[in-house]
Amino acid sequence: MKKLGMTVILVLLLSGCSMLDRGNYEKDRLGYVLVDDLIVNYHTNSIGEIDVFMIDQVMSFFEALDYVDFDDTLLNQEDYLDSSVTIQDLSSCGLTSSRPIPRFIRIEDQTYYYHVRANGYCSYDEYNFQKNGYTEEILYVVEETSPIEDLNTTLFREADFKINTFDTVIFIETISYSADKDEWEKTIVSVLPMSIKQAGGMYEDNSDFIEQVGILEKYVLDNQSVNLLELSEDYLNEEVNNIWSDATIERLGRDHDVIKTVRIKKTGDILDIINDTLARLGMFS
Amino acid sequence: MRKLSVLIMLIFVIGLSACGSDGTINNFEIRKDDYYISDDDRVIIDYKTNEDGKLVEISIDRLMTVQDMFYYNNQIDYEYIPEGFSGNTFTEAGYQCNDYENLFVPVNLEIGNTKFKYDRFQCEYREVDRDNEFKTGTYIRKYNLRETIDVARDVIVTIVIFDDTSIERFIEIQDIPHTMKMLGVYTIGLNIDQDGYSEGVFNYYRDMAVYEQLLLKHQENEAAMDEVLGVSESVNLLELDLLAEVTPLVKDFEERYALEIAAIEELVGEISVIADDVVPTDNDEEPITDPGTGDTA
Repeated sequence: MKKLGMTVILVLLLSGCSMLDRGNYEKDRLGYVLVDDLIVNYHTNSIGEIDVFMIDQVMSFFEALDYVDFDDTLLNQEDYLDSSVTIQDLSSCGLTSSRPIPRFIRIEDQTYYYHVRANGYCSYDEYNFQKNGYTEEILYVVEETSPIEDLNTTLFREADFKINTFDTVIFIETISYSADKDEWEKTIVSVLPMSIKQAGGMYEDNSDFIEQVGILEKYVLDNQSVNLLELSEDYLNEEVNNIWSDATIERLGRDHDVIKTVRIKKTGDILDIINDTLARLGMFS
Repeated sequence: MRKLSVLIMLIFVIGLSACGSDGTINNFEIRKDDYYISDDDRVIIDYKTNEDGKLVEISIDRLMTVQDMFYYNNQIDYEYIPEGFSGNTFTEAGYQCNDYENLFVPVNLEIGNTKFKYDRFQCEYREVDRDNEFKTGTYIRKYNLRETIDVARDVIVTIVIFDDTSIERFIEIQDIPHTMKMLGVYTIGLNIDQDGYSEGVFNYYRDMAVYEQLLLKHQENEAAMDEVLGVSESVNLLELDLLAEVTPLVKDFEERYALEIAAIEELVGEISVIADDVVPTDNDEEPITDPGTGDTA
């Protein structure tokens, strides 16, 4: 029995510190969690610690167009090809929108178009751009022939889609016919920020959100959990300035960055998605 | 026998008590709360160290050249004319002064509380007095269109107009971001034909956030970069099977962010308080072998 005890102790010592120096989560995981308008991007290292944790507030495609007040006149209208999807077309797809939306979008080098089908099933589908027109006929007029070669791959079933904003950037394109060259031309009109962080700090209030979310990200990295963070019951009340519970203030101290700086009412939802992410990564399992 | 048990327990306690003490590496000057601008004036780093010399906050950002501040910002309304104002808000930058076609720039700028006016002959903004006349002297500030504005990130750069009939003299029109993080994904450049990208697609905010968080974790540049590149010391670079499993957290990190990496090395040289041969020990991690997929709720 004594020998067994000695052996156990010896093994423990020989194993060094590695048995204590390990994290709570699944090892070597990289991914994201999207819940409503919040997204978390995470990475865990080889000992199960979270070493990258980023939070952002995403917008849907329609919301993003409104947010940047996208100029619809940038989308040219050709006789045979309209670079915007009209409100009527959207209606035929069962969608309500106050504005036309871009028909052509781009992610890195892949191109997609909004495919309006007669049966009302509409989606953003991948296509190849054919500057001389895509047709199997030998003789044809380029201007009257579509430059879109459908690849039968659907990217977004919903026109009002959301994306992983840590991984993807959306560009808006337009296609027009050049009579001089007798060919179709495709042009990138603009990038479209689909989240607060993608939009950067030049829009009002973004800097505050980014600063406060940054403090919560750092808290997760330092503590590997948010168990000690509790909100006061009336934190959503506009008149309540300090959103944290008395217990949390006592535990962290009034000088803690979380207590001093984090004030946004969105914090409840942010804590929920953090807990959701940590649970998916195997906390307590 | 009892003595032997006590001795073993003592060794056990001492052995395990050492665990965890190697996690924190206090490399830096204590209680620093400052910003650093790289030698080439291209990168600005806000940082903070605590009372133990541990780096506790860091934010890396790239300063934009003055011409880029206007070229990439699509929120500038060049048609806007303030009510009652008869002068010009914008003027041609000048063919030889910039790298773009038909670039217009504001006639007047305010940086912090200092007013500037554009001088097309010198291709630069120069400090002006209360009457919008160029100041003279050795210490006046000026910024060429191809240079960056080397001020802190929280210094606000604003388009202003000079109106000598108003009490304020200079009237604010619009704030202009002067760093890449402030301008978000708008900093992704397009080629001349606008059918592709000038330098590829990248999310500067995301890529820098990864770098910053790993710098805070590892407290030194080399280990953070290894982690960004998906390579740690446990990977044998001669084993091709292992190399195939390496997944970088940021694509083309070394090539794309050479300026930021160099700036961090400069900063470490500035505020480091330990000799270079004292190497941190927190390198017991393995490469990423099985990246998870994104879970969408």
